[in-house]
Amino acid sequence: MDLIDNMIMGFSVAVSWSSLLACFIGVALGTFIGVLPGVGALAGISLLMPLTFNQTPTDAMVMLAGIYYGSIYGGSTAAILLNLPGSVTSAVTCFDGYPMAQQGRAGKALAMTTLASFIGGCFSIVLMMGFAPPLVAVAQSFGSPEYFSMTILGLLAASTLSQGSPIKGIAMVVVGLIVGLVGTDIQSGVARFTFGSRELLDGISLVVLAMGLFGVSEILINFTGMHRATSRQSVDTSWAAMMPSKQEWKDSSGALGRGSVIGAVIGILPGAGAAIAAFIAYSVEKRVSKTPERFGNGAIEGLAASETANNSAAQAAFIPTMSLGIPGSATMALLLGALLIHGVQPGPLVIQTNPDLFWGLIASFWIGNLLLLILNLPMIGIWVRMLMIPYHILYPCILFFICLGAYSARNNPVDILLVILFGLMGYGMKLLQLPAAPLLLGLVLGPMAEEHFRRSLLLARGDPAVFVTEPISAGLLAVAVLVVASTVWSSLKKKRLEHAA
Amino acid sequence: MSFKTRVLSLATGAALALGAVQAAADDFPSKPITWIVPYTPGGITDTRSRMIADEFSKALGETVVVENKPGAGGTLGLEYVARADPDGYTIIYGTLGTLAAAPSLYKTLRYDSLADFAPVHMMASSPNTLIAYKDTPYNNVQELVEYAKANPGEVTVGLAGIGTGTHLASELFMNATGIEMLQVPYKGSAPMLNDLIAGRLDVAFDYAVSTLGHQQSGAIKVLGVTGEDRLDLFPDAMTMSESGFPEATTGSWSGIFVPAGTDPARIAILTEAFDTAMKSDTVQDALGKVQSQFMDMDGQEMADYVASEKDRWTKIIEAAGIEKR
Repeated sequence: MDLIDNMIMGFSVAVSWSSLLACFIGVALGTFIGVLPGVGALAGISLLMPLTFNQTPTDAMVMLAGIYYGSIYGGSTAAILLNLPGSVTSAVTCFDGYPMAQQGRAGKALAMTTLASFIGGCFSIVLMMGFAPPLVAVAQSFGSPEYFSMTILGLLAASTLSQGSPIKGIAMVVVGLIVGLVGTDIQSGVARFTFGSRELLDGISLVVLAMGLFGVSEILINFTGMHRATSRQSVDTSWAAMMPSKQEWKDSSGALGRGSVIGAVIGILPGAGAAIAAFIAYSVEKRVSKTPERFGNGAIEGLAASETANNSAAQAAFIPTMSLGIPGSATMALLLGALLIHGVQPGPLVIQTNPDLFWGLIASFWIGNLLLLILNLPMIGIWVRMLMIPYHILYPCILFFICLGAYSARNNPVDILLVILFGLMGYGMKLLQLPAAPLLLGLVLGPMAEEHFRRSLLLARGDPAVFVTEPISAGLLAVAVLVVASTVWSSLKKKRLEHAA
Repeated sequence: MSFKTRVLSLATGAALALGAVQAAADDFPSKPITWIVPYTPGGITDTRSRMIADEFSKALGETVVVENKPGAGGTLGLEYVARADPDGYTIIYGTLGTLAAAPSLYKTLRYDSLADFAPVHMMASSPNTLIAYKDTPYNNVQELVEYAKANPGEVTVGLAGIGTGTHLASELFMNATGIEMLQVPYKGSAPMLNDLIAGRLDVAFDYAVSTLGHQQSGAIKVLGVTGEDRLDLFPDAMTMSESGFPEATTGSWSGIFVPAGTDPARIAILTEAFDTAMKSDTVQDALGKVQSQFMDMDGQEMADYVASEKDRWTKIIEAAGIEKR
């Protein structure tokens, strides 16, 4: 069978000493880079790329890819412990991970993250090995109408992300959409809402917004003593206290499965990305949950869903990148660039012309995920002890790293001002009990929805029927209608029950 | 990242300095040179800069540190260098986009592309490829033009972004051939290629480096190239001149500049070292691979070239009616 032959070839490449070493260095560095707030995979890879110039192309790719998925893993650590999304993909991890840490369950949260990441990653690897060609065909059939319908579905699902008042939730989605308008309009090249500032021409960075809304505001809240009660805690780092209990496994099993699938499906679409996968997996989990009110207050299945989804998507993103030669994100573009430097022409023929590279890389994903597991389970105790650092020492350090991270994205001091501005905004939102999650989703999906809506109409010569005549797009819209209908139905039913009572 | 880059480069700098040769009598350069790349890390420009910087640093006997200052189509990096100390220690990667086109594309550019920079040395010109979906009924530039004239407004052309090199090339092409195509802007060339391969888009201007893989797999075909000569990689694709549209000839050029007011003696040292770097086998080899043509040009000749390009693109952009941002 092809699959087995390919795997044997892959492992024979990936188990060589040099590849193992490259893989180890990659995931270890990646984890570290991910933990630093704001310093994402992109910065890490571009920084370390010159070090790979003298390696073989396979070792270089193995190492760079290791940095990539290692950093996505590492980003969760800062998100759980400090409410600081180390990368965009881990913003969703904050929702339930940080409340868990506040309840003294940081060890459990980190252990679940590690295991969920491993499961999500493995699922995508199997998918990639067995079904790369048909999956690519599916990804190829996604044009602008399909992307638009997908974002609409995502935005509607976002209404379930909010705690409490749905009106506040929807209002925050709209704020997110408005923030997403800032920058250069793709269709016309005209600047919008930049107030004459050329630094805003490229729009507002999601990482900067998330670090401000979650990280900086958290520090402000603690300084102003709004809930100092939850600060300093004694931490139990015994193995038993850190491992999820049987009940928690049971609660999370469904989330792990659904998260893997959702992550893989969204990951193979170029341009969608791991952050959207995590958002959608999280909202799906909340929707199917019998106790949705626990979400946002430390529900371990919410954490499990977003973590499996973002790692599954991170691995799946290699499918279009490697087999189509079309990078789905800036990080993937960077990896293709690295291939080019090594004299490998990226493109649809890579699998045929360099099978050892392709299958070796995929086999290395497995080894890398296993290394992450071995590397990080013992580390959890150490990370959790970070919470024991007194806040008057910890917070200035975090603030320093936030500013550094914001600045390093494009070496621009304006981003430091922005992160502080968003911190103040996040503080105000917490006082008014406005949820930050829908805002973030609005910013992620809004610009995508607009871009694809306008391009769909442009390519269809202005005919809006294109959204319902394309079958995939029509299907997605139908699901969106069902989501709305079920929400209305259940709230009506609830009202009727209340009346009857 | 910049902080870490600097630590890293200081470390390598210390190592290199041990074996460094004194390059010039007036002890310039006596500290590392900062090469500003006004684009994000990892792009073609960035990787090329790092490769050339390596050779440049060998020729100069001093470390050259590449620093990314992306934003606003590369113009933020140029603004930064326009205001930097004119001491020869800050150099910038200038391009058609930031020096010739940007003045007509941006409302409040805080630099004058001719007065604020002094030329050091040109790098290369990368011609565009005109590519099409594999099942389109035309196979070369002339057939495309005939088809577009017979079916006005039907052909769609992808742009990797308003004001980018591919957009300018398509404006130039429509100007030269007199045809109308529906322009479809994308956020970068990757999603554009994705739609082209899937047949949702008809044609697009691209660069040889990203075209090659898709052409080899048969997903797209190359209708023509915009350079002076044909490209070795696509020997059958005719140039615009051969196709009867010499005015559509173009290429994305790039060169190294320093802030205006830099001591000419220092510029001369930089120019000489850069010339050596560009003519090294490593650089020539790498340029050949991506089908970029080395431009052996410096001093007044280079300044005149930039000025003429700025004139040319100002007219084209005005004619195209692109609104300033």
